[in-house]
Amino acid sequence: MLEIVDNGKTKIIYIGGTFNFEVGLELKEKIGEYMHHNTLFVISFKDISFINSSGIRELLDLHRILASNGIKLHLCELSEDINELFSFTGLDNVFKIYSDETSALE
Amino acid sequence: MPINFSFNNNILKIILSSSPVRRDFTDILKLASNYKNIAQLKLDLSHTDYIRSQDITGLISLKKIIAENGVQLLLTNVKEGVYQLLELMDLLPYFNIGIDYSSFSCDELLAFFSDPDAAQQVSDYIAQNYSSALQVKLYELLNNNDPIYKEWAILTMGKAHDTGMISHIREALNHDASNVVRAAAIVTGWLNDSCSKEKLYELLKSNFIDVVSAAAISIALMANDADPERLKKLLASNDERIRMIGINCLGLINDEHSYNILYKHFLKEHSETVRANVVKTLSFFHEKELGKFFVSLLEDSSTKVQEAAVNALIRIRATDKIKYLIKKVTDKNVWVGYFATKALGALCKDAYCADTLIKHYDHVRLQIKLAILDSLGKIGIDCSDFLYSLLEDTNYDIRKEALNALSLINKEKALAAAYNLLEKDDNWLVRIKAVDIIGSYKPDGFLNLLKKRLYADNNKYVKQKILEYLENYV
Repeated sequence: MLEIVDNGKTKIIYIGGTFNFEVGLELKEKIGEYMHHNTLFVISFKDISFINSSGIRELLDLHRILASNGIKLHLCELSEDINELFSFTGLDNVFKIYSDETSALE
Repeated sequence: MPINFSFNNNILKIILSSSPVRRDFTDILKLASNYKNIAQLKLDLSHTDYIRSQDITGLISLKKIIAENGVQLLLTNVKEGVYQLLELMDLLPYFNIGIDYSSFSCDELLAFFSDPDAAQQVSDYIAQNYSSALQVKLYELLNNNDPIYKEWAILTMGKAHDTGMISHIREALNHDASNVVRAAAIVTGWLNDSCSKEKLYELLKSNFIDVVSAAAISIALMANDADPERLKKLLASNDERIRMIGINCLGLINDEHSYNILYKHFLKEHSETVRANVVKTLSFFHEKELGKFFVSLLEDSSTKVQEAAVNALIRIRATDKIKYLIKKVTDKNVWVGYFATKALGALCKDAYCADTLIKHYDHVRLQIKLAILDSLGKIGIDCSDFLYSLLEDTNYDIRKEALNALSLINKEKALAAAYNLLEKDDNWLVRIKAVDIIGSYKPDGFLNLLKKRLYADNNKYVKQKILEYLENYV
């Protein structure tokens, strides 16, 4: 599941299930379509049960592409398991992570 | 006079002079009145060494006046002397104080790397505001002899996805200082630098656990089909910490080969902590046989593994195991009953589960009784009559858990019970639970009720809890 909700200059992306290579690829493709009209993308992890290493690679690549275009990427509502995983990989220092959608949009 | 000012994104930022006087604050007020839609007035005190106590009143008036117009005042980069003065005058709680790194030059920013309390934040700030000037300075730091500066330069370039100096980062994998090697190892993974992979495998033999961990993580982040088999060697280590790292990395790769390695490893692992970690990691794989496997582990000899198995069943949403779990509630092994009940609380949502747990309640030991109450609250089916009847139980843990479950199921009944128990229950833990329920639901007149109990209750912890709610609400 991948749903994009328009919030003015911001797009909120809802993903469900496991975030793997295929999901990451689809996400990059979708964001690519909207990229130049937005200043911030927020990915809600609320319904993501797990992210594997190939999904992380795609997420890092997306972050790199957006940053090089001056666009921000925020992540929100990570489960305890995924928070642990981001902390283990040090990625909590790479991504801007918020506890809820409202603060991620600010 | 203020040194400088700017207005961006509804924030008026003003840099104050070294020793501002009362009139400066009046001037700031005049300046602010020229702008519409100010949300925040940011006073930068990075150049301010001292404010005389009689001039502080100007700052207080400024805050008061702009607050009346809905503008927030933020003091940034407050130096020690001014901070101490505010502390001495008991004004610290009155002002919002923060750091604004945008006021600093590149060199000043990088100097923060030597401050362990600030380095992480500054590194984040630089990565988010990456400029060619900062990039040049970071490149210079890569040649710095101080390993702390080198470490932070590498980490910051990694966060900013800057591959411009990847050859230097690869070289840093051979550095003498372990903090530099660790930073380089983790950043090669973030930057997906597969050319570093063989060197990372060498680092798995390092004597420094942080280096082993960083290298293994980066290998996992860049993994291809061959890597699980090579990372498997970590599971043969005598060091439990290294086996844990290996397990977590295989879980991160999350392919079929990693799954098979982990499953087989569980059968020969002897440490209960590591076994519990394998169970947790396995639950991140979507393999059909796992539900049956986790259920079988409820009877494991280790409570750590049993608990991990329950959490694993919850994680994979093993609702097909509910009937089996219900049978286990009355198991002769109290821990099996306890964990089965906990799992039911997270997996069930129907009346059948709630009714069955209530039916078993009188026939199980205290530990399971408490787990049943916890699960009934989570299941959410209205069984308030049953819970209400337990509010007069002789055991205070039962009364407390029954009240908690009631609060999750029936607000009105929970509030009525909480009022009653706050006044009459002789156990302070039950009364604290009652305060929590009243404080969370905030019914009409709750402040007066809590104030009354603040004076009437004789237990300091209950008083403290009441005060927390009163202060937060006021």
